[in-house]
Amino acid sequence: MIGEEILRIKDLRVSYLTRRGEVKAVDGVSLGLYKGEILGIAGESGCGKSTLAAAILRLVKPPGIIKEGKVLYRGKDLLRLGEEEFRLYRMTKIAYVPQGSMNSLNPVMRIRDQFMDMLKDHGLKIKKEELEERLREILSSMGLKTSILDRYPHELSGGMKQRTLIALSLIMNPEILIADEPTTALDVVSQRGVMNILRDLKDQRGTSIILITHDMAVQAELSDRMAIMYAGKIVEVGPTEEIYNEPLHPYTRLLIESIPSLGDEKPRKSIEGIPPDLVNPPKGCRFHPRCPFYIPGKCDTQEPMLIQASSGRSVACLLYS
Amino acid sequence: MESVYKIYRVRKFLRAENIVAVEDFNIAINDDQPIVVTLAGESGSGKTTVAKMILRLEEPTKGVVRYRGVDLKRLRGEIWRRYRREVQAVFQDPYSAFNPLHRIETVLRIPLKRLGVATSNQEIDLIIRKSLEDVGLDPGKVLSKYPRQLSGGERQRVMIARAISLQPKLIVADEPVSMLDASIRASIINILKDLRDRKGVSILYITHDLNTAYGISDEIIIMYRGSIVERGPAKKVLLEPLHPYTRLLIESLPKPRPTRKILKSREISIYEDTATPQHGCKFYPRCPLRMDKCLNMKPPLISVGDREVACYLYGE
Amino acid sequence: MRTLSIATEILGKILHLSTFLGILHDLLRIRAFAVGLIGILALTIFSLIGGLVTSYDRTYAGAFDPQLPPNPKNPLGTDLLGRDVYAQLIYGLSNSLAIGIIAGAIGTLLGTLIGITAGYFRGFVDSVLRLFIDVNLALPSMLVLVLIASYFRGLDYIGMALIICLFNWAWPARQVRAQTLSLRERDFIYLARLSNMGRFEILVREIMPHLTPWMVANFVNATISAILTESGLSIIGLGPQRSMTLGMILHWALSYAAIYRGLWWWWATPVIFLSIIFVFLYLIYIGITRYFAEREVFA
Repeated sequence: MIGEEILRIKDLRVSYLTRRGEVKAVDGVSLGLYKGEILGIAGESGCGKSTLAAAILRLVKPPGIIKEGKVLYRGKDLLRLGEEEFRLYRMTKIAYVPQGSMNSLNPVMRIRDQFMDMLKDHGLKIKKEELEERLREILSSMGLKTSILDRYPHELSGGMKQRTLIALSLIMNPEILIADEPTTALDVVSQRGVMNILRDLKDQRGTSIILITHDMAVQAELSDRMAIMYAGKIVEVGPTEEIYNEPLHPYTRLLIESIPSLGDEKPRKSIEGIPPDLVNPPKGCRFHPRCPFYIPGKCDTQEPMLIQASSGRSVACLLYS
Repeated sequence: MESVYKIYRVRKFLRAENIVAVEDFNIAINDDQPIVVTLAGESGSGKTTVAKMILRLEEPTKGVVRYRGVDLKRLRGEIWRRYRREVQAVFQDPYSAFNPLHRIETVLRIPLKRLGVATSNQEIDLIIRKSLEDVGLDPGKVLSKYPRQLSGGERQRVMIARAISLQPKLIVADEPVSMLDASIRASIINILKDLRDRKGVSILYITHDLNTAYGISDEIIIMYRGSIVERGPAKKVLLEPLHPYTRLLIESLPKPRPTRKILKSREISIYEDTATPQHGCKFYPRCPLRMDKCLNMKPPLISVGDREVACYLYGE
Repeated sequence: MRTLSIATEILGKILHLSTFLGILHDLLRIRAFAVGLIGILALTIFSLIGGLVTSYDRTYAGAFDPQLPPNPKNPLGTDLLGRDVYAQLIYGLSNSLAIGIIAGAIGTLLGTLIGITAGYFRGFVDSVLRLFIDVNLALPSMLVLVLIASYFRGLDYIGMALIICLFNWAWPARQVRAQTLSLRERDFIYLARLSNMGRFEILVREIMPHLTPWMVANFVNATISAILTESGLSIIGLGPQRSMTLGMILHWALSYAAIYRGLWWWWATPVIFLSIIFVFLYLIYIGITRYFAEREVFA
């Protein structure tokens, strides 16, 4: 059951100030997240999706800075809150499983001890017994036993590590979970496990999930709505099924066409070229150097704005304006 | 028919723990007809260990790996160099596969010189350029750069260029695309396909992602915890899997078209960390179709038409 | 033949000025390193220039009136034997630093070579080397050094450096060995083996460059410990009797009861300068480790 809008990002801009120049990682992103839905954010590596996630949780570290924009959670602008006040939101209302977090587990500490440390760092005060109880409940719903907490990271497979991290993020029963590439680097079976968990989260607990991944097959299966990002901007938004059946933006189309699948005899195509330099992005539409529908004179001068194509769908492409 | 290499009944134990990494693995690749063999399985299935044994980066504890009829341990001198030329590799992680201190030109030069493929600098330059062009890279733009200045996809291409510059007969590709963005995997797979079709190179394609395997493989071998559980012509095995584990793998794949199918694969998660049973079929604890018989003795590879399955469901 | 060409190539790469300067520039942005380096350079320049201005005979007994507090002719006064303390400082400073750096360099180099060999070749070689390393670490170095130093009475400062080397190589060796063991399994090493690179070539060309952060940090560490060791031995009278080091100055001061006699300029000088050296060297060490940590080298 999809409900009201609980998170709205307005014109968010995040940059990294490097020696080479200002890397505009997130350049004017506006999005909405509804209660009980899985919103997928897709795009190649380097398009800014991870930065977007970090920005929502105010985890952008120097040389990165949030330049402007609003992140409204139930009407409250999270970016304007004081550090202490915001802490009440992070992990309790909005939880985060960063990309590659399973690799940053301390190899010489048991999982349980690390979790306690992490919770302490976030300033979460919770009694040990209560913690145990909640962990047990969450872990078993994922098909894991609490004995897993007494192990060391290297004793667990990638899939298990990922699931325990997701379990940790759910301790305080957050309303929103942001998962950055939760299935990457896992083998198919572990992937399936994680995907099932995320779907159960949505179905059984009503958690809203922002699913960030470049894997379009995973997106196809899990997300209700999708936002496609390219070079720091959103190029298309809409219900997943509609997007897959009829992709509007050329980039979206290429992404979908590159997905291989069993039984498909057609040779797959890749997207030509490499992602653009975010310090000096191409003029006009950022995708135009790689776009099969490039219109010279138009696409390299005008920058397409995100406009509504139909109910619930928007696209940023000069083919539609 | 000269085999490029062959493995007989190989077992490999990991030191200090007596884990059987690979058990009873046989494969023969001949050089008369280029073929893409996919070796598929989860992490821990032993597929990387097989690759390392073929490349002589590790040695089998039991059994033999032969190159053109000669045991790898006995290769010396000229035939050793020939082996190193004809059997090459592409690795999974484009971020750690290159020494960050070497330029791409150096990376491509070293094997050519060390393996005596060409002697004069002119020849070497020519070969390097041609190889880069073959993988779709512009030599002028790439040669003087350091690995960190290239994208993941470009680095993988360089790795492939390096391999083909030596004119190999067999390329062992260990998860070559799993660390790349899904959208650029296709181009790398196409290059590999091209190698088979136009250059007569056989490929041992190791992966856990069966979606990518479909378009490219001729034959497929499914491994589970060190043993082969199914093998046969790729399209048949993938579209009509016989072994329960193969079925599990196929069902676990994310479906590329949004469908609302609910998959009953809950059992998988729970049993993931089960210790491997000492007797009988290794897949027993996770198998939805198991029988008592399966616990007693490990099922051998049973022939079913032009395929083989290690499962009692298909015979004795 | 090929070894020679590889060695010269490496040297060429090491002396690659532009990269070196680039790294130096980045290091200097870390305040700890900058302060430390400037401090040590200042001390070195001070002792070198001072050496030109003074002359050694000021350190001979009887050159001046004894027990004079600091005065225009003797900026740091004179000791019980009429020797100019300032001159002693000049020569002592350079000798102390020299011993530290020589012992530090040799120890680090030795440790690195042993560590790499053990880590890369594993097996029997590793077992043997590991035995040496562990035994060396387990021995009470100070006691053994006392024994050796007392046997070799009358060492000069080079000899001092050499015997200190006996005990400062083991810890770098262990570190480097651990690093080599893990580097060995990295993909690019596999590719190097597949390219038919010789083992020695792989060690030098592929592995060693990655060990530079550790080698540098170990070098600074070893230098600090060498100066400490030398001072310790000197104070108890086992130092290079004929050379002047800060430790030796302190030794004489203590032997002649400078504190009791109130000749504060005599004992305070070596103490203060030794402390300063330690502080600066340690700042350099902090700076270096921070530099590498920022670049996530010490993963």
